Amino acid sequence: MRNRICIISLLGIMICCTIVSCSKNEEEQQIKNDLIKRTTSPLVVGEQIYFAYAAASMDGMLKTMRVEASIAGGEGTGYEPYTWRTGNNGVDVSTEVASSCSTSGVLSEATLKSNVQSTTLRYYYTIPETLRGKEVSFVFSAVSTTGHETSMRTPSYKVSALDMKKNITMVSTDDGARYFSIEDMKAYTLTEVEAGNLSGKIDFIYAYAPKKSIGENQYDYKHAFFSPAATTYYPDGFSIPNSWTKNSTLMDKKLYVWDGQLKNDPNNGIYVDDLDMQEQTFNNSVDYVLDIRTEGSVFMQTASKKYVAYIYINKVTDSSQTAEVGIKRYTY
Amino acid sequence: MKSKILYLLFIAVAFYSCSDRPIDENGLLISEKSACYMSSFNLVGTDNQTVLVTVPTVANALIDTVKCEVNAVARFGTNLKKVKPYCGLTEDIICEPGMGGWEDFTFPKKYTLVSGNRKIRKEYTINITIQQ
Repeated sequence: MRNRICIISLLGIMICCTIVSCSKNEEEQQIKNDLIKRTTSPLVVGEQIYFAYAAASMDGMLKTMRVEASIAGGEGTGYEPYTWRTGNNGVDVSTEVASSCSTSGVLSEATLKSNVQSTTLRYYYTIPETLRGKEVSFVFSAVSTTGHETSMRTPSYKVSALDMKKNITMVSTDDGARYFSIEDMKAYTLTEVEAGNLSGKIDFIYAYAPKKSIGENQYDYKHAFFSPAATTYYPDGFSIPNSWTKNSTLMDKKLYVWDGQLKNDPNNGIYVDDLDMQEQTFNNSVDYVLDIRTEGSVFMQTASKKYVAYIYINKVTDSSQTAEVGIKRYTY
Repeated sequence: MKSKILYLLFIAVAFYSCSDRPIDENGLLISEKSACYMSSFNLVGTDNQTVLVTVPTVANALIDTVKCEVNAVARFGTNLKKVKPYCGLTEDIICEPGMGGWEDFTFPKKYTLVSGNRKIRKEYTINITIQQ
């Protein structure tokens, strides 16, 4: 008799468990979601992380889609009110699906229009300075008009310690912006260096000259970066005032070491990140590089050894004597 | 019986081929070839591009296989303290020390070539000057 009671009790418990798990599954399936992190490049302060978050309600319409970041993002953080699809002609077409999008502190929310049963929204997170070298994570969630909710937590993403600046134009003329400060990540003109007494900050100078004269001979020079201290490698006729501080910046020239971020090419999956900077060694390096080329690059170490920089050369132009460059900088 | 004979034959062939193809301590084949010369030489900079005005070969006479010398001129501005050497070798020849790492070529450097049969050793001297 006792055995029979035990067996009946066990059966009862099993049936209850089955019912509970079924109802849970049923609830979970009333609303579904999925997520893709579209940004593959290093996460640099000031840049954005781009996600595509999708949700669908099985028994009603979508009401809201939310994201909670572990730390509040910078300006520009939030959902886009559009969903995107690629048309037959290959062009992306947008449709507005959210009636409002807002961001307040760590929380971003999109309120969807009344007829949206499923959609994918883009969420952009602008990386704030407070996250430099730290980690950030997100919880995405969606709620339907029937009250069902679903959510998805991302892993933690490490934010790079690098600084980055794109599209800096350097001009190889007397009054051109050719004196570069890695600390300021900026190219100055001679007048600006003199007026601001900035020679101590100048790490390298840009010049273009087809040839350089050595005695009776002339050799290829072309587009070049040289430290103020590398006087032997100044182009013909160039000089800097004697009163200037002449820093010696170590340089290693590279070719075909691209960077998708500085190259402005999102389809280029090659990036220079923190590890590349940390592993750069400058044993036996010199303080100038000659014949730099479009899509080439130069790793540099400042005289103070405070900074290691990666200078990407987007474009050099002989006729205008210009170089368009971008910089990534690692600070020790 | 047949299979046993085949098995014994297989073992005998394996032993024979092993003893006929000796390898050195680095696992490289010691052959019967006695040729010992460098057919080409190159130096690349940190951008992995050649720094030499003309790449030395036996054909352009910048490699002297009698004197065992390589003479080349590097472009103006080359940092000879940080270049990687490479050379062309054939006929199971090995080079000591190995090339392909960062080297200082501001002074002549010596490399020893060893023939495939390991019986002939020739010391090559590499002389690089810079356009100036």
